[in-house]
Parts: sequence; structure tokens; C-alpha cells
Amino acid sequence: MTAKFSRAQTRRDFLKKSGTLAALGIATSLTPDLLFAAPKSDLKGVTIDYWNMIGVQNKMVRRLSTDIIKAFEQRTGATVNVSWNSYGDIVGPKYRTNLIGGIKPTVFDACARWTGQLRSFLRPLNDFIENKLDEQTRTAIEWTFPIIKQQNSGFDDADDIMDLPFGLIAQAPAVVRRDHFERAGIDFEKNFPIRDTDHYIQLCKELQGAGIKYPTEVYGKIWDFADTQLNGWIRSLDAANDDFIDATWSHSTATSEAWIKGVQFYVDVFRKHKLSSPQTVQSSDEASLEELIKGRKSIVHADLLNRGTLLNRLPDEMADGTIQWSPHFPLSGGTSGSHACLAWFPMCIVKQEGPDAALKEEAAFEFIKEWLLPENQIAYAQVSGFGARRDTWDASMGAPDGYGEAMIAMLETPTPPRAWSNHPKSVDFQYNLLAPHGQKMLQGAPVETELKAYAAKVDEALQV
Amino acid sequence: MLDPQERKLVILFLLPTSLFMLLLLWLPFIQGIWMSFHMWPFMGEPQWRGLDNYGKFLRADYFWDAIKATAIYCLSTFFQLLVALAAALVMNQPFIPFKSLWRGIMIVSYAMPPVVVGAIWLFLLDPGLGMVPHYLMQFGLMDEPIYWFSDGVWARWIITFVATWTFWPFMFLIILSSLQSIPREYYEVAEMYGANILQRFMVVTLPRIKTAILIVVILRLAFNLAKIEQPFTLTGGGPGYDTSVLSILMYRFAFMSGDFGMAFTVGLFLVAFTAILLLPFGWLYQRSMRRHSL
Repeated sequence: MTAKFSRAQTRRDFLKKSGTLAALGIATSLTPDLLFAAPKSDLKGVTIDYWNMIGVQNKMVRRLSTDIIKAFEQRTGATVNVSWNSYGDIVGPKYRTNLIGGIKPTVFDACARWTGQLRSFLRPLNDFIENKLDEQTRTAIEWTFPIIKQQNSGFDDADDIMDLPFGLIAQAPAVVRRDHFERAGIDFEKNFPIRDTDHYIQLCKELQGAGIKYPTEVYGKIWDFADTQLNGWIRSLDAANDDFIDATWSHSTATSEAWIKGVQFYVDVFRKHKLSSPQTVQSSDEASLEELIKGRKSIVHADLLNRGTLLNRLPDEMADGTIQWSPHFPLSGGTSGSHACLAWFPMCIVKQEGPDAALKEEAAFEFIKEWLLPENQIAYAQVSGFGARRDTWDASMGAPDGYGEAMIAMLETPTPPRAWSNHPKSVDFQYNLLAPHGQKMLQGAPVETELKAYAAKVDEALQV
Repeated sequence: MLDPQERKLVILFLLPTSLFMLLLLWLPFIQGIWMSFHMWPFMGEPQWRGLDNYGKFLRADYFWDAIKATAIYCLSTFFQLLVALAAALVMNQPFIPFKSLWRGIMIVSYAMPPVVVGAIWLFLLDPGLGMVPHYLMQFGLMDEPIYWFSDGVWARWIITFVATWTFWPFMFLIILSSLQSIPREYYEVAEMYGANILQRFMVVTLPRIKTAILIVVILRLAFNLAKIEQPFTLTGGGPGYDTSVLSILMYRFAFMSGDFGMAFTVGLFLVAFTAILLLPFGWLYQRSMRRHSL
């Protein structure tokens, strides 16, 4: 992994590549046929409803969404009715009740592991991918296809691609303050990126010795306990059992040795090493990033979606390399070949009814293609997650904060990363059932006992 | 006595409301009872479970945590009553200037959405950024910040306190209007007979606002126990299940686990819990009404 984490590209290279691609993007939007074959059907006058969720990632993503919608409307003559939603809308009852009640969008974006509950409403995209996607784009995203299949392995129709990713994050890199390292007398070049958890603890203790009271944080809040760094540590020990349920979707994996060791280390960061704040039981990555911004923390695990916040709040430190992204690192002794979990943002087309159903579905796929344009993929990577197109990843290299290098080091590991399963109850498994036990463990309850209790609840939920 | 013609008219007037109540309240309630005997997923076929859901809930590791959290949370109603009564008694004094202005200020917390109030308090109490720990430390009242939401005992009392702060103006407005309807002559007569302030309150004020107090206590008890959004914003039901009041558990089962059978089981426990709490107040209210009618 470390070998892949090369900083050979300079900021100048980065700007050159971004500039070239941006220019190409402008040219493309002026003359759409240059790179983008026109749709076979005339989409003029077709209206599609788009439920946007990713706009909540940050203001810049919302603006990018608006720009992409405008470009699509200009290119095709179709109209997009957009409604802005939040994570809670898709995780909670809003999407489900609306779809059951017949209020359906044509297309929506989502977090992949949250779409399993809506799968019966979705249209398979295989024929579109086969016939309507240009060769270059298809080649650039086909690495995702086996992972999509893996994440839906419990469904009878797992071969059908119903959620096509346009963006992704490998969870979870660490944001590091170089100035804190220097202040603590730590040689940054020798100690970055962080190698493993022993190295992490050693660095945090040195930083603590230099006056940073709680240099890092593990998270207890319901949405963050098992959504940031924990599963990567488990995965580093056992790449087959890092998910919440096994590959056959029949039982929980939480009583495995890897889970017990991974969670024990997570708890130890707070309880044994005392490197995480007293607020740990209810802390979140967003609040901890805020502490890092204020200079009160030195190493904070946070997903790449927070990059927009850092660009906004710490523009100088992001530009001069004070803020650095470190790839997630394995638990010491973890040799599974991977130490990151993949979360991605797919576009889904909802099955349409009525005489213009086929035309609407085609328009929806054209809209997905708009998101997959290289310039839009790069623009997305600059303000939020990474693009799903592999051929655009290089354009993210060389930024002063090293986000591209960190992401690629996590994506291109000896064992490929995989995505969490898309079981219809994945929200329950990952957050609702686990977090209360997680908080109890952080309060001192025995890890093995709590994981056993959690696993029993998951197993029970899987039976029905 | 009503003649048959009038009786028909009464029935005719009652019919729309009764039909409305039947369709939108009683039928869903009865269906909820039926659902509680099933494993009832959001999508897919329900499966008959008999009393399994009830057994599962009673044996669950979170059952007693939820009952304890709910019991403490409902104390908020009585704290609201104390604050509201004190504020109403003060605001009813003739010497208080700018009464409209004060009343306006006092109802601000009630006028805001509970989620917003919850978010404000979350920020105010934040150990790192919040004003409350900052000033408590500045005035030497504590040495280091308290991590309110990381400790179950603190978290339970904080959600109770925030609910008190948010909802007391409802009681205040009703008690104040009840106080304002007491003729000033009653107090003058009591004073002539030498009654002190406490005696005036016990003999003149309390009997005349008792019905209003019982009504607001009954209403607020029922409303408070059904509150989800504010405690959920503040703690998410944690740490562990320490602040998972029954309504939060119900929400979790319905919309996070997608298990409506369990959600309604918890809901029926909530109904029973509420009914047990309301019974004595309902009885007192009935007694008070009977006395008035005599």
C-alpha cells in the first residue's frame, strides 16, 4: 500500500490536469457531440423527476448538481424536476412510503447500501449499460460491476445492476495536521502516512505529550460508530468478515475474532489509551473535524465528503499542505490485504408506468451519463467523494492536501475493497442495532458480551 | 329532556365527528393492536406471531432502560407545572409593567419547533463550544465541562430539562387566563379577614385554577410521552438505551427496523403507561367537575 502512496506528482501537475479537463468540459458542453453521442430518441419535451440526496454533502455538491442538471437539459431538451432530500429521507420512511404510495421519481441518487429496501421498485440497468454507454465510459466503470454484484449477493436477481455508482468514498482516511506534528517534533516525512495502529497510538501519545489533550477521536454517535474507521480495522484482520452480515445473508459476523479485536482496539483508543475526548460516547466525525479545524485535534478519521468543509473553512491550510489526508491504516498485525470499506453513491432508475415510460427511463439513463462525464466526475472529486470512473482518478493526484493519493492507496490494495451489503435491513444492522451496544462498550461494558448481544439481534432480524 | 326531534338533530351533529374519530383514530388503533400480534414488515407479507412480540419486548435488554427513561421524562410535566404556575402568579400581579412584552418573550420557546429547540440546547450544552459549560466554568461552578450526553443519568435529566424549557409556556398561558378570571374582590375580602399570601393562594386561587391545572397536566402528560423528535435530536436515544423513551423505541422499530408489529407492541405499552399516569388526574378532574355542577 505504502508503495502506491506516491507523492511524485506536484501541485502544478494537478492544476495542469484539472485545467485541461475543465477546458475539455467547457468545450464538451458547448458541442455535446464532441465526446458524447446524442441519444437515439428525441428527448425534447420529456420531463423526469430527480430526487437528489447528495446535495446535502456540501454546498458545492449542490451547486454541481444544479450545473449538471442545466447542462443535461441544454443537451437533450428534456426537463428535470429536482427535489432536494437528505440522508434521513432515504434512511427513514420518506422514500419508502412515497414509492409504496405511487409517488415515484424517475431517477434518484443514494448511498448504495440503502437501496436494497427499494430494490423492487428499481429498473435493471444492464441493457442500458450494454447498449447506451460509450465504450470508454463502460471500461472506466466496469471495475464496479463485480462489487455491485457482491453487495447484492443475497438477492435472487443479484446479476441485475440496479444501482450504478457515479461517486464513491473509501472509508475512512485520516485528516492530519502537519503543523501539530512539527510542533511536537515529529518528523513528518518519516511518519506520514501512518503505517498501522501501533504507529497511530505512538504518534497520538507524542502529540498528547506536546499539549494536544485529545489528539484523535473514535466515535460513539449512532451514525458514526460503525461508519468511519472501525470496519477498516476489522477488515485488515479478516477481509471476508468485515461486513455486518456474512456473504449468504444468513447470520451476523460480529462474533468473529476480527470483530472482537477490531472493536476492542476502537474502545481502547478511548478507555485504555485516553486519546479520545470524554465526549467519545456521543461524538461524531463532523464534530471532531470541527475540533481539528479549530486546532484542538491532530488526527481525525473522516470520510472524503468532508473535504468541501475543509476547503471552505481552512483554505490556506489546504493550499499550503498543512492539512494532509492519510490513507486508513491496518490494525497492527492485520495482513488481509485491505483496510478500507467502499461506500458509493449510485444513481437508480425507478420503473416507470404509462405510455412514455420507456422514454422517461431512457432520459433518466442519459441523465446518469451526464454525471459520468469525465469533467463532472473530476468536479465531483474536487468537492466531495471520488468519481466512479477510474480514468479520472489521476486528475485528483497532486493536490496539496493529498486527498487523491490517500483515496487511491485505499482503493488499490492487494485485496480489492468491497462494499457493505445492500440488505434491506442494512440501516438497522449498521446503525440502529449496533450503536447502543457500541456506546455501552465505550462506557466500559465487555466487548465480547455486547457484540454477542448485537449479533443475536441481527440473527433474529435475518430470520424474518 | 330533549324531545325526539332534538335528539335526532344532536345525533346528526355528532355523526361527522364520530365518523372522523372512528376512521382516523379507532380503526387504526384497533388495526395497531392486530398488527402487534404479527411480524409486520414495511414491505412484504405479515406473519402471525401471537404474543411473541410482547414476550420479546418484556425480555429485551432495553426494556427497563426504556421504562426508566420514560418515567423520568414524564416528570417534565410536573416541572413545567411548577415553572408555569410561578410565572403565571407573577404575571397576574397588577404592578408588573409591560405585561404583553413579557408574555411574548415567555412563549418564544413554545413557538419554536421542538427540533430547533433541541438543536439549540445541544449547542448550548456542548462541552467544547457551548455557552452553558463556558459560563459555569468561568463563574467557578465547575472545574471541567460535564459531558452531559455521554452519561446516562445526565442525559435523562437533560432531555427532561429541555422538554420543561420548551413546553412550559403552554401551561403558563392556560393557568394565566384562568387566574385572570378570578375577581379581585375575592382577594380583597380574604385580605380583610387577615389572610396572608399563602392562605390567599390556598383558599382563593388554587380552588379556582384547579380544573385548569388538571386539564393542562392531563394534556401535557399525554403530549410529552408521545414526543420523539426532541429527545431523539438531543441524544438519539443513547448512550446505550438510557434515553430511549418508549416513543423513540417505537420510532426505531417502525422506521429504522421496519418492524411495525414490534412498533405497535411498544406503542401499546406506551398507551398503557400513559393511561396509568392519567387515571388519577382524570379521576380528580371528574370529581372537580361534579362538585362544580352541584
